[in-house]
Amino acid sequence: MRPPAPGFGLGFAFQTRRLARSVDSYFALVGAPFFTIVFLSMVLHSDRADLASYTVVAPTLMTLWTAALMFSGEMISEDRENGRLEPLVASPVSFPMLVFGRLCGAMLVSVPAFGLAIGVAGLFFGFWVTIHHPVVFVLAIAATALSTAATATALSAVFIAAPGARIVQNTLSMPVFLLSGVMVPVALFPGWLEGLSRVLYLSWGADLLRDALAPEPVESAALRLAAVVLLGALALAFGSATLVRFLRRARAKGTLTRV
Amino acid sequence: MISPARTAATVRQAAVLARTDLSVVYTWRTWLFGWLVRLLTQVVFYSMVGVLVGDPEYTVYVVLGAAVLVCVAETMLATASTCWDKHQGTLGLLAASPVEPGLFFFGRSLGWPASTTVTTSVALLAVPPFFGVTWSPWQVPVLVGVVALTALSSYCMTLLLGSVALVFSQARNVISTIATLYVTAFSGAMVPLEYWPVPIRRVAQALPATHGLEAVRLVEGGGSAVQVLASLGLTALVGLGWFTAAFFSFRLVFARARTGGGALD
Repeated sequence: MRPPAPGFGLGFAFQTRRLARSVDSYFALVGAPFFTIVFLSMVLHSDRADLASYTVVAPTLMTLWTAALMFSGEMISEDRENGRLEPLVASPVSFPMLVFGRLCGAMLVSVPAFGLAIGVAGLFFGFWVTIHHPVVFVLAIAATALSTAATATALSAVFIAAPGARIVQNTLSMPVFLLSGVMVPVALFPGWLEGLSRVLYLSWGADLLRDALAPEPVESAALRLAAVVLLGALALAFGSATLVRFLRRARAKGTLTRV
Repeated sequence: MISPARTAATVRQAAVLARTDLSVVYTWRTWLFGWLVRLLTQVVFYSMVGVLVGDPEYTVYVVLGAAVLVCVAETMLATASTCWDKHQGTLGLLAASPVEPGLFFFGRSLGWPASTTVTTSVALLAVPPFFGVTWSPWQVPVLVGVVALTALSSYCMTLLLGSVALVFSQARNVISTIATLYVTAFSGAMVPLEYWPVPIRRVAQALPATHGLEAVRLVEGGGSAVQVLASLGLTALVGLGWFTAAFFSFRLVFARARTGGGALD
């Protein structure tokens, strides 16, 4: 029985060290200040300063998802190109946990993204965010980041098992931003669309983060946090099973070099 | 002096690459159900902010702006495709040939403005009706024409960025993302230009999207033909300005490359 934790810890430490040197992480961050400017100018122009906190939540979540798409698409194929994949697969650590650990490390990009968003809102527009429910906020951002990493693990598994699916990698950004209500709450959508949105962990995370910044009490925080974590756990289970099955088949057929 | 015949031949030959690249990047299915859907959801995404703030008139303003921004998002892909010759190792051959680089690169990525004209037209004609805009039949060909010119003009702006990306190719995606988001924020697409300080408004006058968008708003709001033509004239003029800058920038990059000064590494 392999302990899964070493794989996770190794992956997390490796990615954290790489984060500062990776052009990809900066690429994911580039959008955060601009999206803050776009959204904040839109709500302030419309005299809706009460929605200003939405405009720092959205860029943070958009950065998370952008990073997830980028890293999930490239991580395993980069390992293959750099000659790391074979020794990693042969090593006694859990490969899915290694990937999940690396993606969790990549999600640390949400911290500077949030910093950039509140910095831009404060410095350029004079709007300084107040986190009215800091505990809920920290838990919500941690749960959302974990679930994003879990979903990215599932995407990695799909991209490696079905390379043809990579074609949708670049097209998954805006539909997910829209459906998960990163800026506009899904409660404003038609009923059938809201139902579909609730399948996405990001819709629960976005609502919870917005509520954590608002002065009103946060309703059913524990339950909503559980929804974020549960949907992330389901994605991780799917991703792990797909990766394990794929690697077993690749080992048996000797097709690992074709990844 | 470059003859018109030679210019046309260079652009035509380079455009063969553009057509081939486009057919490699997309099948009609992935273009229709992947790329087009992604761009349409982008328009809806921004438009929903108008719904969120609860102002139907402003929602119309945003949906038109977001639809025209499709032009910018897609033509900006030319920043990356300008670097493809470098990655494929054919840039050295180009530098060794007597080709005029500005003309070659103009033709080399022409597939993007062609695709953009279709995607932006679909976005502009299909999405706004869901947010309260109604188009008359006579407006359809006018809008498609405005979109085609805005796409071409935006493409010329991208060519200058592409010439920079040719030197700093690691940063090509960062360059195009920053440029796209700058135009999104400061071209009058999401909030009127009057909202921003004077220096930002002045820079906006150099952006093709600013004038193309103005023409679209005039068509939608019943502006006169003279007003629309004036906006289109400005769209073409700034496009020409960007192309001229790109033309000389490519010459500079190739001149440096030919003397071993970079870009080919």
